[in-house]
Amino acid sequence: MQNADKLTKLASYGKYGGYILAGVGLAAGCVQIANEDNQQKKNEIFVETIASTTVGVVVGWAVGVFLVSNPVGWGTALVLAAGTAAVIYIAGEFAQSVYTTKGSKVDLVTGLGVNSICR
Amino acid sequence: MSIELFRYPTYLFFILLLTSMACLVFIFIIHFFVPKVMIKTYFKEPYFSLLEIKLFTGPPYAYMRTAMMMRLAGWPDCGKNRGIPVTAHEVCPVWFQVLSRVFIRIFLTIVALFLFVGVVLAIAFTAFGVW
Repeated sequence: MQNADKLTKLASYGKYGGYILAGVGLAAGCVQIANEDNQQKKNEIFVETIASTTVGVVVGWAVGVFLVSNPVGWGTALVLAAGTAAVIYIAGEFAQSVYTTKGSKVDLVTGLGVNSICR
Repeated sequence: MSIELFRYPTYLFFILLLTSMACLVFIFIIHFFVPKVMIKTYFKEPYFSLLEIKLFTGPPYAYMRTAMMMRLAGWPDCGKNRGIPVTAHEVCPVWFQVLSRVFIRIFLTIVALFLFVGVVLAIAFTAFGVW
């Protein structure tokens, strides 16, 4: 029974962690966009935030597909979490770099109305 | 060899990113159509640990449970490591089984292609000193 309580608490911490990671990531991106004067930089931050969030959720779903046939232990779970975090970070940075190189003519922040939300 | 060669792979990268977003919209919708009987019958102990059940019930990770249920519906023998019977898919309607098989294949192809194009572009951008 005590073990069940511990697991329930652990699951709650995991959920809070998910909220914090996603919420803080998006909120931080929004604050950065609001504080930035340069339109180009605003767009770069937007692309990075959206790409990393999307990749995070997509990889999470793919992990779900894998989990049903492969119950994982703590070691594998940690490797999966670290790998996912690395992929999310690299994808965000790379998408920003690709935008800067090839897409800077497209003003996504203004076009999608992000300016009026993050100000 | 010029960086211009990578113009179209770069467009492909962004198209795949947008397609992934579209997949997420689809996942959000299908989440509400996962047969309840399947979740009640198989998303419980001893097939899943208590931690998994608590973690993947409700937001923010419930969508991962949808992935598990769709895989189980599409590929009946995939749950044998968890002791889930190969008849598990029989509790859900045929449309859900077919949809699961089709969507998971499309989804994994998109993700694999996205990661592949991303890695190729990252190597190219690094070689050209753009990144």
